[in-house]
Amino acid sequence: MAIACPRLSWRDVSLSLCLVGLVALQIVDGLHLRPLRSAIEQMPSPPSAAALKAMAFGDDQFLYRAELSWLQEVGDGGGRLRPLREFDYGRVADWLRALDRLDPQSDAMFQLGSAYFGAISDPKTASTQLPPLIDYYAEGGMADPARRWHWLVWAAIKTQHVVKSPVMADRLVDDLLAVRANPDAPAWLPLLAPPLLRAVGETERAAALDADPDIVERRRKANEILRERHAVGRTPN
Amino acid sequence: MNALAATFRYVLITAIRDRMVAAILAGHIAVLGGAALMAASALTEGRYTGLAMAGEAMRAVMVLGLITFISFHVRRMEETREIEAILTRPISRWAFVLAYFGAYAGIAVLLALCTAPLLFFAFSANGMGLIEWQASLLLECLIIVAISLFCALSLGSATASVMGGVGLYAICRLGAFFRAISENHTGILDQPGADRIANWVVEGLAAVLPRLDLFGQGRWLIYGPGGGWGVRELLVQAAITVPLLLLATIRDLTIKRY
Repeated sequence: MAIACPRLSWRDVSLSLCLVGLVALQIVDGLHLRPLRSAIEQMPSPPSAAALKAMAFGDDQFLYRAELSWLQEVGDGGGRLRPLREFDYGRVADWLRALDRLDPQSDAMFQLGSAYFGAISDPKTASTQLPPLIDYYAEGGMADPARRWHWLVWAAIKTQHVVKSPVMADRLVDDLLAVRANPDAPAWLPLLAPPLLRAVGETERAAALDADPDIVERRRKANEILRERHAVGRTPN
Repeated sequence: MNALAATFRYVLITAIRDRMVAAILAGHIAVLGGAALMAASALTEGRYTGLAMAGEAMRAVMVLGLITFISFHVRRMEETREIEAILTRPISRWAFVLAYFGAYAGIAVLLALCTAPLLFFAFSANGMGLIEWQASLLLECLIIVAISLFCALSLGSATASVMGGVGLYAICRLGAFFRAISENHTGILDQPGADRIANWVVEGLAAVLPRLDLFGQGRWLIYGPGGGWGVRELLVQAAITVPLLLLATIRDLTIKRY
């Protein structure tokens, strides 16, 4: 059976050739551009409260989640990753503060800040990078210690083991002791203060605090609760 | 009643033929895919991220789809002189506008009703928050249909109508921003007189524009109803805005164009 072959005019042939030529040109250009990579995005300063209102278009929750995802990825791009030591942590803390205003109920800022930005493994770098984050978490934790006590714990632990700054430790000890006035906050929270003082060399003040009847009583109660929980096989909180 | 049913049927057939229904449903599915990707890549609270993203993007798909479809459909009716033919029959301008609003609104409601089940299956959204969000989307769609119909019948081209509709919608979504500016008396110029005028303008805009920024809160999908307002406030807003826009459309149709 003969196959009917359509007759092509010169115009059709030249048009097809032009098409093939342009595709080939695009491939060559693509290969030429292959080594070029998009610039890694820098973290800008956070927008003002009014600018955030404009960006939200009325849906703060959407902006909150979108900015949180962006904050998680910012600095990485074009197949490259920017090490955390190169970030400006003051700016990171400012972003977390700005986002906190969009959704004060969520704990995602804590997870992102502590588990991602706070997870610097090199102690030397961590001690210079973490202070703004610690300040932010101490400030956020003190705003609502009953709900955000874990923010204060993170700030205290990082100051005690990583930053070891006497000034920051002093500030945090004051915060932790001020929590005693809040009946809704965990009663054991002030017990973090003595080891914090010891870590920065203030052993005498730590000993005096350990001997404080209120701290002694809180420690006794905390141990009692811990023993009870161990006795019934529950994991202590 | 027959005229309304016939108009609804005609608009529905056009929407299906123009792939508008399929495009919006495909848009919703694509949105769910994108939101699932965002949720999976979130370091924490992934489901919440997915819900907020999907909810907002579904709103955008509905709004853009409706504005585009209505603008081009009305324009085509004008170009084929269909509107003139309809209006030569014993049908008033009122009935014409209301019939087409009813038809577009019917399709919008049908499409909007698909979103809550999709969010339920994709991100386990549930409870009163989802119901409130769904009700809010339905009311928002009614306002969008009224805005689109007004723009499509008032402006001379489909492009102008789409841009006008999207622009009006965007300004209405900036209601909270205008309110914040007017309340904080944010001075943007060095001259106090000019600042005062700018504040009056912003205050006027904040007062006149429908507060579309209050609709479709992602917060409801995550934490449930709350935040200081709910369906009641949105219902009042829709009950004022929709008749206002329909009256403006009827007036424009009666006085200016036909």
